[in-house]
Amino acid sequence: MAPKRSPLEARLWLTAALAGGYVLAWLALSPGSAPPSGSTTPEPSVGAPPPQVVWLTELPPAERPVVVLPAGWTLDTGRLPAASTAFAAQGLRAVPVPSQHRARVRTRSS
Amino acid sequence: MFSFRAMGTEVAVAAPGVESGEEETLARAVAALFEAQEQRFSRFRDDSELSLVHGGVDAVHVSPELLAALLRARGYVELTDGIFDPAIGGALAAHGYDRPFAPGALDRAAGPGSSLAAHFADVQIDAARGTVWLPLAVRLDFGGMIKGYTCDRAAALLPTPSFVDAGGDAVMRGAGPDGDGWLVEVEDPRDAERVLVSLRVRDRAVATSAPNRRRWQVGGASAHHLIDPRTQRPARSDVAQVTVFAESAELAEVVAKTALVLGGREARDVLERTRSSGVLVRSGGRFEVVGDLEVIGA
Repeated sequence: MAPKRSPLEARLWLTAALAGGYVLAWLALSPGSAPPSGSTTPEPSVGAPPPQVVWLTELPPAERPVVVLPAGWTLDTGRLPAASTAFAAQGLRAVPVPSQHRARVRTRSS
Repeated sequence: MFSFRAMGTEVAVAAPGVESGEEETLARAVAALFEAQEQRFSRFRDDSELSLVHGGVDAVHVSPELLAALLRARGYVELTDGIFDPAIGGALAAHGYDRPFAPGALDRAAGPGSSLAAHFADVQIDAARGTVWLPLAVRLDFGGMIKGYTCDRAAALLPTPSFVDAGGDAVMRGAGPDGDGWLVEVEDPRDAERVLVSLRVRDRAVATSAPNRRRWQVGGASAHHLIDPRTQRPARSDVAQVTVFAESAELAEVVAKTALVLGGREARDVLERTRSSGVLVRSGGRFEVVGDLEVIGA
């Protein structure tokens, strides 16, 4: 027959069991235990030669590679994006100004 | 005429010779250009290219646009003997200008923080490799230079006559809607409701520097955004406002800021040396017109 435990001893056993459970849960869930995700903060490219970038339209016609585009696609000219699409995409809004303010520039520091 | 907000100010675009629909399309293109420039050069956006260049240990590759801006800035630093210096971003932040300006937004009880002396000459630019290296103390603030440059580029998109006006930095193409010049009103720095002098201008760019609008309280003292790179503190000048007319808004911005920081006789000298014209307003309110300008009212 097992000896009867005192209330104090029972509380100590319970505390030890909870502490052990906490340690196990912490080990399981801590960030350090997670497998590497493969995503790291990108380092600035240092020392590597600059990428050679050129607009197609800046190449002499004879040197331009043949580019086959899907239907409906066009080559970017390297100029500003189409005004309407860029404007809408960025949520920018042009507001008409009353005619009395036309053709006048008010200089100020801004 | 159409307007939109960008770079912390109101931008107006007018092309009076075209129909309203086409004018709006042009305004939209200009707005897209301003947004792209702000995204690249803002020191208040963590994901701007300028922010990504800061704090690096080694040289980093930059876009052709940023590289070109750095090279132009180096030319302006040399032109102004270092009075124009974009490396004052750290001093601006130390004096409380560490977020977009709005009236009262920068006020604080604490005094100015400390910042290491920083000069653009310490920035290492390798144009051939397309790289730049900034010392840790250097925080760049192109400020009005990029706003002026963006006005210049925007104006190139527009027909003649037209103008782009970004909060007083403007490029005016042609001779105005009636052929007799664009009306330019120079604001009185002591009373924004009042016009100090009116001018007629053709095919010119204009920019103005003054400490009267971007002003805030730091530690019980007044601060403003025009930092003197020699002291790394807000400039103390006997010039209250400088309006400069030049070939480009970018140059006008640089010359105006330089003249205001220098003050005294040198303020006039820098306009003459750069073949600019303009209006200098002294602290007492007296103003002088420098160069060949058509004054139509004062």
